[in-house]
Amino acid sequence: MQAIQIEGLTKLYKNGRGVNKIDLTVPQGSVFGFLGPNGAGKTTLIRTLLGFLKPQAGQISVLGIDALNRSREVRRKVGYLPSDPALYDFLSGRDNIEFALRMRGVKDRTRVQSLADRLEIDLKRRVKSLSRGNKQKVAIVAALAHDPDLIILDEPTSGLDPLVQETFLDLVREEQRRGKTVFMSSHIMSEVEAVCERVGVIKDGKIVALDTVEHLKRQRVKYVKAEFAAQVPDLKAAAGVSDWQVEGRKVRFTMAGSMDALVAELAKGSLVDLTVTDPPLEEVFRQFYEGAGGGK
Amino acid sequence: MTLLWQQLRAQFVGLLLWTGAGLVLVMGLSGSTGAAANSGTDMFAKLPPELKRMVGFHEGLSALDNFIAGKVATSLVLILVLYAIVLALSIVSREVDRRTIDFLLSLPVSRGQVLLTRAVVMVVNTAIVGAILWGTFIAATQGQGMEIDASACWMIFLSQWLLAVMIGSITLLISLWIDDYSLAIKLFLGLLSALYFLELVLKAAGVERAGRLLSPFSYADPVAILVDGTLPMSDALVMVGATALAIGLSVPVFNRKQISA
Repeated sequence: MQAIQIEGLTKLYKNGRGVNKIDLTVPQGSVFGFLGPNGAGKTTLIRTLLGFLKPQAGQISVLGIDALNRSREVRRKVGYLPSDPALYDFLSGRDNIEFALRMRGVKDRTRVQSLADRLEIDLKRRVKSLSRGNKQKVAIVAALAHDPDLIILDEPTSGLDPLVQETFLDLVREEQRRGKTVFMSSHIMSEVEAVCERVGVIKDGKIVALDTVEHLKRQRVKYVKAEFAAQVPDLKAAAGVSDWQVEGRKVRFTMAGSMDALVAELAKGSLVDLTVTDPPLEEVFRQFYEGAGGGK
Repeated sequence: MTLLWQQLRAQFVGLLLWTGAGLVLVMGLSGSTGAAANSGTDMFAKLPPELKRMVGFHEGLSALDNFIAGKVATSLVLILVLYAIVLALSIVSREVDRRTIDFLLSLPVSRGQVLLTRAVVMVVNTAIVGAILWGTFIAATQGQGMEIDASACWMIFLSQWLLAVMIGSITLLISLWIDDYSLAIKLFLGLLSALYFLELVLKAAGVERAGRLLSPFSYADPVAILVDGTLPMSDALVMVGATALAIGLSVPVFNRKQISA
């Protein structure tokens, strides 16, 4: 079963931005990364999922529920962490969470303290007196306290210090192990790479890539290092080769497309060592946004 | 109930502040009422005819009643209407401006439920503030040994409360298109001043009630209540009807509202 199923979703603002004809599925129990720079349409899609925005066209099913017509039921099963969470500042962190739990009709409070302990946040303090990072922690507890089946995170680690970011990513992994689905928008590649199995890349309101992290990295360029016993053959003009850098008998370059022809060419020389590595996700992402192979 | 309790809690400090500020004004007015009644002169009688009409001076009323209509009621109605506007703008406009709407609407609650619960708080809180202020005024003047028509004063309170709720409800409806809270406050306070000024100008110009039907403040006329001893039912019905219409329209408008980031 799909946790999220989106078909032909279009939500365009007057300035032409938004999301346009999006098709997307997120399987239950997976951690899905939704990548894109600011203004690409990530938040628009999330807000449409939650019923904050009404789309011009398309269908959305969340946990098998029609999200456009039964948004309230969807929100009962979803935990949402906005990119810049705002809580009621006249209340303490605990009172904000208590309000959310009561509204959801949840009686079990066991997760509240355990989450607060994990994130090292004092829930007794008024939200008004908390730093941005601590407000973010309270919002994380509020989003997870009711043990939702689907967790929607919009740039969740902004405002968190690196140690808490790691704790948070551990929490995400734990939720997945418990069978929960996590939909996480981000423009921080390292965190997406750390926890997500699949990613969608959005550009100018359209999905330009939808794949597993590993496959996405593999199908894009590769970093190649080669060492020769004698002179390095001059292959910088070969198809798909770029960033050709020779240092003595060693060469490093970037390769796009099939490796077969290149390996055959390299083997004609006195090849001693050959290392081929996948680029980090940042590089893959950069290629999409620079339009190299797959981007708009 | 959780939503209602949360909103009552959110507005509790505001309730105390508005009541406190109103009580300071009421105590001052009560002292002036004593002076006006004891001097035995009608301070409004010396005014030029335009100003007499503007403050609602009525020959058939006593000096005390003219003072209540011309000064006490005109001061307290402004407090109540201002408070209703602030409460109305806190229902959606402030939530959107401060982004707490994201937290609220991510919960399994319908927008209609949010709006109606908060409208109830607007109705309740304006009633509390108005009742405390008018109750204090009546008690303070009676404590000074003055013979005041308490039932007429309560009728004036009722009409002012209905007016405040009506203006608050219309404010709520219009504010659904305004996401900037500080802009909304400035806009509605400006609008309120303009409407109040319009009513004063129309009255000074001697425009009869029929010509002031579009002026909201004409629906809470303390002079008519003090003269007749009762609240004009047609005015009350118009205010209740306008309130119901404004809130009734607000629900579908809020349901269709796009909550952008």
